[in-house]
Amino acid sequence: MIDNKIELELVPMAPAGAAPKPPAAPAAPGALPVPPAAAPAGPMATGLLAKLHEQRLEFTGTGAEYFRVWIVNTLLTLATLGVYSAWAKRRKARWFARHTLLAGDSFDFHGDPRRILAGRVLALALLVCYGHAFEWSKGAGIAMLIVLYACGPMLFAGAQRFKLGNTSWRGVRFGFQASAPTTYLSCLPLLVAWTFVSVGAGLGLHPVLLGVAGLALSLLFPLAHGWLKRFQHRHARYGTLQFDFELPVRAFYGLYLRLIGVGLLAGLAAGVITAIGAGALKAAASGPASQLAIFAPLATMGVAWVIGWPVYIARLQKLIWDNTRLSGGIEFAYELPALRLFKTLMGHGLLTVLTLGLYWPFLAVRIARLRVEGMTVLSDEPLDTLVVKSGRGHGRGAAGDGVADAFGLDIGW
Amino acid sequence: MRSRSQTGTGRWFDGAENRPQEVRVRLSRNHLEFMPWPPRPQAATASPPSEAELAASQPSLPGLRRYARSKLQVGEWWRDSATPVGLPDGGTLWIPAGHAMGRQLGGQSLGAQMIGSWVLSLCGLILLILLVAWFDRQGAGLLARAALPLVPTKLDQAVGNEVEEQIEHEWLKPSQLPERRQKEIVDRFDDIASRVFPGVPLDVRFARQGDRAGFNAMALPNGTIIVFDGLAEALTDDELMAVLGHEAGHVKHRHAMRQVVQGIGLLSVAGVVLGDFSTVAAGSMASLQALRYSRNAERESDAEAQRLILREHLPNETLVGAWSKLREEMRREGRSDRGAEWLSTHPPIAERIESARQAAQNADPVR
Repeated sequence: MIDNKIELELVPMAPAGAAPKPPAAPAAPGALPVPPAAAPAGPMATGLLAKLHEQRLEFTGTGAEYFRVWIVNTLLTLATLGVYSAWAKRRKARWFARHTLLAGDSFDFHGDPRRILAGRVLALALLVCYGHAFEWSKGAGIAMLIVLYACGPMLFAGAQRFKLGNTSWRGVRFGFQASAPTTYLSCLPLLVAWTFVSVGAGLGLHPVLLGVAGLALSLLFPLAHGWLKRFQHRHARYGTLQFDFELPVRAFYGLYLRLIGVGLLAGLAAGVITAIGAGALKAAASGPASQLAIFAPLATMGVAWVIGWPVYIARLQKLIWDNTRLSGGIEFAYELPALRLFKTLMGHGLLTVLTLGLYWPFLAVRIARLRVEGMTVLSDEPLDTLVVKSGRGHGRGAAGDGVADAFGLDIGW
Repeated sequence: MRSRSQTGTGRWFDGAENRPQEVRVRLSRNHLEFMPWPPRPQAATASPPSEAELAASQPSLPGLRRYARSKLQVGEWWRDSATPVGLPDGGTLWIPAGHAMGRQLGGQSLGAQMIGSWVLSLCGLILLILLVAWFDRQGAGLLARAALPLVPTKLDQAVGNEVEEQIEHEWLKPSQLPERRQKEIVDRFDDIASRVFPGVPLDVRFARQGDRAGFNAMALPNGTIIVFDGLAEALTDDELMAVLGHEAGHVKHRHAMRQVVQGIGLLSVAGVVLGDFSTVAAGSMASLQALRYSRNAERESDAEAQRLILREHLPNETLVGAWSKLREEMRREGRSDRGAEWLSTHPPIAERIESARQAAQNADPVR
């Protein structure tokens, strides 16, 4: 039933997305320098026609198998004191990639576990140093911040390169390439935010000043988020095809406004629910008030998250993919039913809690299926006849750009 | 050897472009061979050949390809999904799901076999649960015991000095206890400590907690023990010695550092088991466990206080008296002594009194 609804919506949606230029886009303050390669190519100009071919992504993994993958990964990671975690991460990434199918062929992941391990050691070292630098001395803290400024954006870009450069479909790899200035510029808003929140508080700035800065930051946050997404999508490629992303600034603000609305409603609902729950608990166990004081905010946050996250993720993904295209006349449509995601989270999340987390792999697979199958690839010609050449020469060298440089590490946990 | 070879179909990508090619595959003991199948694309359709068909009609494949099995990079075999075989020339051959060749190529590793079998993976689950339970009961303690000697005591000193300076600025007020009384207590405890805690650097100081006298004492990792006036005024000399013994126990066992080490261990285990699910869940599990270890540390220090009492021939019930006074103080302040145990840093006061009483009864009556 939901499928039909999407099919109906897709046709009018595609031309709207490909319309010459949404009025909001040129108004983007401080727009990033656009590499000439990303300029609209021929096929993109055919905006008035709906795309002829639709190919929905398919997810074939089952919870029962991921459960066993999860056991093996967790057991070996614990038994090797964490060293195996890099191999576990590769297995997990591969499992999800190989169960994601486009036009009958699965994706694959090729990341080298040794590089994942190196990335984790580096991330841990940075985290520990960052966490304690200000305890050692102010000088050490500031030095650490400079290191973070210098390396952070490159590490972020490196992680993108690692992830995409090691993902393939039909034997051709994705890729990510961005110049250093673009990388730094795109990360700037978040770096500034980071500085104000951590250093400002750490150095004891005046609260009014901090408040003003915080307000300015939260007003700019949707823009910063959009910039980051544009950075990620504009510099990605599949083989020789370049991705492009047009930043809908207004839509990003709309998303966050809506999120605040949902957050308020969810917070209200959560408050009522926890108040009722707390009342029942109090009547039943006459527990001390201090315990309730700890649990009430936690429960409220939990309920608000369960209500807010599906809406956020569904809207955000739709916003991002509707504005992303791939040269060669390929566009994307994304429709994630937030209600179904919410129901899954409620029902199966409850099971996960009741089984002390053992049900988690089943829930993870259900969420992955919803998220993967929300995506449809739209193209002028069938994907089967659309021949894409590998980006870099022939064969294994294609991985080179992701692996050769020192920054191409997998950061993230 | 011939009889052991297997044949089947597969899907081949040469790595230079994403055009799929159906192939016939043969897997012998040492080699993998395949060739395009059907050999030529059929131009059976009435429509004019597309660009792709034209490209495909050129014999871009030199026919049979043969690779040594040792040179292949085979992805793990999982039931119901195709198995990718990385070829040394950058191409990829996909063995379709459900074909025995996939299992033979990629199903031999321990991981693949465990994932492929419910029995093995349930054994794995039991092992996993045992491992987590063991870590919780003993592993974290062992880890701390093994790692603690590696942490230089200088670090304890440095951290302790730092904390001392900070709390002195922020919430300590000078003690109003007479100098003479202070010296009396310090001298007696120094004398006792030289026998009971040889080699442990201890330095007793007195202070007030803001504008209140404070019914408490605390030990810092650098060996400084801060006694608040309220406690010093309420307890008898013997009881003070026992409480100081408790605090000295924290220093002796380096509880502060141990908590750091155990905390790291706990966070990483919880992160591995639950991190995939939620870092918040992992973090809260780890902090609940850390609280339990903190309560165990308090019990360990209580035992040190008991040892001091025994060694110095103080009255057996000294610690019982000290903790009873603490309980009265807690009640007076309206602090519940029946809070949830698993949310506290200290064991319930009733339990502490009870175990002190038992220790007193078990003490050798003759001595």
